[in-house]
Amino acid sequence: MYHEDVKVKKGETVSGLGAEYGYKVSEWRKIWDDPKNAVLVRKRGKPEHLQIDDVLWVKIPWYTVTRRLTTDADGASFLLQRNGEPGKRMSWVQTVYRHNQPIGPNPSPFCVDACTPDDNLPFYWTEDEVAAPPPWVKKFSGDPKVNLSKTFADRPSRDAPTAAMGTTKWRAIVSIAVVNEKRITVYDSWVWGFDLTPAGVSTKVGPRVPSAIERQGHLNLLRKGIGGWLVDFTILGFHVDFNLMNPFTFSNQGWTFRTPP
Amino acid sequence: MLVAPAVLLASSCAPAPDAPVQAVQKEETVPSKSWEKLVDPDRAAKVQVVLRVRLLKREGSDKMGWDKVKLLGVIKNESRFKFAGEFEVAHYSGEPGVPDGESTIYLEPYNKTSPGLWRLLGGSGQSGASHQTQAAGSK
Repeated sequence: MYHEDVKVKKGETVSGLGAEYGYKVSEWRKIWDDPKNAVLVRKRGKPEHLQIDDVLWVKIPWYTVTRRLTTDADGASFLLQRNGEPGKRMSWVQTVYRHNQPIGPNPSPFCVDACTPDDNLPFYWTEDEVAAPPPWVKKFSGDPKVNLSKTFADRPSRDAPTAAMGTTKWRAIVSIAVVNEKRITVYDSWVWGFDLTPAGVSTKVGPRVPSAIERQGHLNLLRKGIGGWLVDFTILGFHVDFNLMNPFTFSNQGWTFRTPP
Repeated sequence: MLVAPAVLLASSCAPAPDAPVQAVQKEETVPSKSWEKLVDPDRAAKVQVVLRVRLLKREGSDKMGWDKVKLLGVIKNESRFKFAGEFEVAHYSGEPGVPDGESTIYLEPYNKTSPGLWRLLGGSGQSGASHQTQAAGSK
């Protein structure tokens, strides 16, 4: 549990901000009456008198309540869900170490998932996915109305490695991500993954709480993570692909990442 | 610091238009394009690209899985992108990808900024592939 210092912008309200951080609209008093807001409450009197640039402290009490990791024939499946309500500023981030089997257009063993960027943001789910969750997540979570602000789901897999490659050790750290402008606070992190032997035997790993070093690596990977794009055009009859991995890391794009203060 | 872009150049090698027609051409089998009719029109209407492909390899999944396919034919391509002979197609980790053998795949952009990256319609082989046939002796 920690508090976000939220700078109020035009048109924002206590109940509206609360809803973006996972509260019911009706629970605005939990925020307004928080002792951390005592000075602000004395200054403004009523929530309706909130002014632009006021700082409202919003308690973030949510934590993961479901952690279901299962071994699959060729990998593992992980379902992670938090309590509280959905909220636009509540999300998930995941960093991955793909060991000896990086896949897809991004050849790096380390990445921010989606490892080949499916948008330019550091979050696990895209805005389109939050608006319309993939059918497999509905089935996997057992909730046809699943909300991806509250639910993380993944099912990584690989071919069995060759004997020369040795056992594939796929690892990830997933965290609840709280968004405050371009600052992302990650907490309630979990290390998970699987080992896959050359004989094709998969064993789940975790979930467990990350060590301090792993947590730092998670933050560093998030800072160095990239959105990506490709551009192509035709010139003098030649089709030209500029395969650019976005040179701007999330950090260079202005995103900051931290653990709770 | 800016990263220097890697540039790939590709060009088609069409014969010169005035090249003499050789007699041996008469003996070549006319390529069958029966696959052109192996299409679900409802799904085709939802996407820019419909291709006939053969699955070469399932690479595995992180959040997204990637399948390497061989292009057998273009049924519809309303994008500006020209597909190579072999390329990768994405699907969600929890969804099936491109089916074994030959199939018709319906592709939507992988993201909003990468014209060269594609995923199966709905991120799934269930909605993004049809008309699977096991090609005998195919690789």
